[in-house]
Amino acid sequence: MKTKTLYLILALIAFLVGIGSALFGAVSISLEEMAAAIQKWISQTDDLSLNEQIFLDIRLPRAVLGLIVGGSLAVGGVLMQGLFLNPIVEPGLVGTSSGAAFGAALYFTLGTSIDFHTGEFTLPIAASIGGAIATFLVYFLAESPTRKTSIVTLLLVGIAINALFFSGVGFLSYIARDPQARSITFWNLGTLSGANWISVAICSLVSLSCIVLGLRNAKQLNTLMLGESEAGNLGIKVKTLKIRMLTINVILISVCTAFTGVIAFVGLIVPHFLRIISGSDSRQLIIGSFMMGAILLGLADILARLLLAPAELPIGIVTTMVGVPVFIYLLRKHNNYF
Amino acid sequence: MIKAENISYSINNMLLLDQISLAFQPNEISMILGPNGAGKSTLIKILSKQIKPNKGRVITNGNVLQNISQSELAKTQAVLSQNIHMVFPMKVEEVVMMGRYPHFSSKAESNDKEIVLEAMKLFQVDEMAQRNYLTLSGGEKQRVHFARVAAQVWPDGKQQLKILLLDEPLTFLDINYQLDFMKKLKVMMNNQPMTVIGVVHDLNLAYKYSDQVIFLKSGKVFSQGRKEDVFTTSSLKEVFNLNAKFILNEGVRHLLF
Repeated sequence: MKTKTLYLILALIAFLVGIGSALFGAVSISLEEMAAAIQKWISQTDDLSLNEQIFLDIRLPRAVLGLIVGGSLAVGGVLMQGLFLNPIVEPGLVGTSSGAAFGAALYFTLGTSIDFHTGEFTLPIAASIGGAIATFLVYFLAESPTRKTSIVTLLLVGIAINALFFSGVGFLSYIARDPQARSITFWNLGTLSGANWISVAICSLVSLSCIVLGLRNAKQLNTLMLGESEAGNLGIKVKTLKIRMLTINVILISVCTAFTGVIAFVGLIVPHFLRIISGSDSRQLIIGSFMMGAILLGLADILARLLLAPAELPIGIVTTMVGVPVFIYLLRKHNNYF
Repeated sequence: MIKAENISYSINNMLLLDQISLAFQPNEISMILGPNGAGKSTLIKILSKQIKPNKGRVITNGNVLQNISQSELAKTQAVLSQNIHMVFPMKVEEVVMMGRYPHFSSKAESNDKEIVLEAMKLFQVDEMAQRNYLTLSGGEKQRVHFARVAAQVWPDGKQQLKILLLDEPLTFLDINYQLDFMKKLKVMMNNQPMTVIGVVHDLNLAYKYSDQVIFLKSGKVFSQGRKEDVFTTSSLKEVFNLNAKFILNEGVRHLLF
């Protein structure tokens, strides 16, 4: 398939999923109401009906956040799989998500008592610090000075560090007062229910810059596929490239995690399927994965709201239910990756 | 010209290379030969800047190798390694295009695409340009990497010396492709000032195609020079523990063992 055709199809589906995601929910909103709300929003009219208000203030930011976060998680997966040369790696496995969750939970529970405030950016910054600590811990503990990072060591170190940071989150929700504790738990399972226009703005800003940075490094990331010494022979400073990739991944995933909690497996599934469709060129993978990840998380969010309607399932549970079978399939089918 | 000056390299107190001094001339194929553990691959890694020698230095085109940036070096010097293991699917032409990466910043120019096509034709992989690299046979994969490395140091009409380092490149190839590869190397050298330095195992192949020969033994240069002078019954005995003979056939000296 032509790359441009693929992009076009994916973008179209993502758009439709976004609309679908805005349609579904406890209150049903018609397409006419959506159109009217958007018109009023453009013309800055204030007399909104309840449905129009729900659409503009709750549904639309939630749908948009779902698309952006889904896309970002998938791009994080592309970067980490390219870096560790393994299709079973994703940001959740290398500690980024659990570290970010811990950083954010720490701010949730103790943030008021520490004098550290930078407005709306405090939470994403706290998450990024946590994500960075966990990710670089995994990276440096799994790395060996004499041989290349083995995937088994990486996974085991990842399990240990994830356990550590998740138990940290558990501890925080244990000592937290009740409403805080509930929100930590829910958010630890991943949810888009907290979406608002501020989180949409921050996530899109961070996501866009990280993707541009990722695309600028796509060529270098490609050379890693030949192995580290070959990449070096093609003029790449491999160490700096790796640190750069890890940093982009940490910021991208941590900021998303700060607003939506831990959503696993999107970064694992999406790049894998895209590779089957369009090959492994990192540039195409980054662009395609962003759109496909958006589609996947948009669909998962619709499912999360439909399965137990009118109650809502944490979205992380939905992605995990889809992701685990894919993960096990990959483990059993492609054991030549080890 | 490339010069290795007094290079020593040791790891974990094991001396792998001991005061190696060598010179590699433009438009010559130099072959480094020696038994396992003689330090051949280590020497190639030092010449290609993959590892830093503990002592001594390499001078490439008049500059100290350590002072040349990785990205500048990649424009004039390519390395073909043994055992490249890829896990992700990629088209053959995408793999070959990687050889042009050092020459453009983000998008391949028409010049790069032409070179990739030429390089694929030269190594007869143009027919499989759209195929998934992972589905190729070992020999086909190796030819794809020949094309990639050739594309990296492809003749560009400039007089700047290009360098090709080969680390046992012929391992998976049928004998006809081995000979074919050496011939094509000569063709490229006719169009571009080029120094080729290679590690090979096959003594006959080295004898047939090299200009300069270096025998390494236990990390030291045992002998070096024109192949006729280095390939002697006594040196082959001492370095490889080989009882070799030479025969003359139609005016050409052949090695027998």
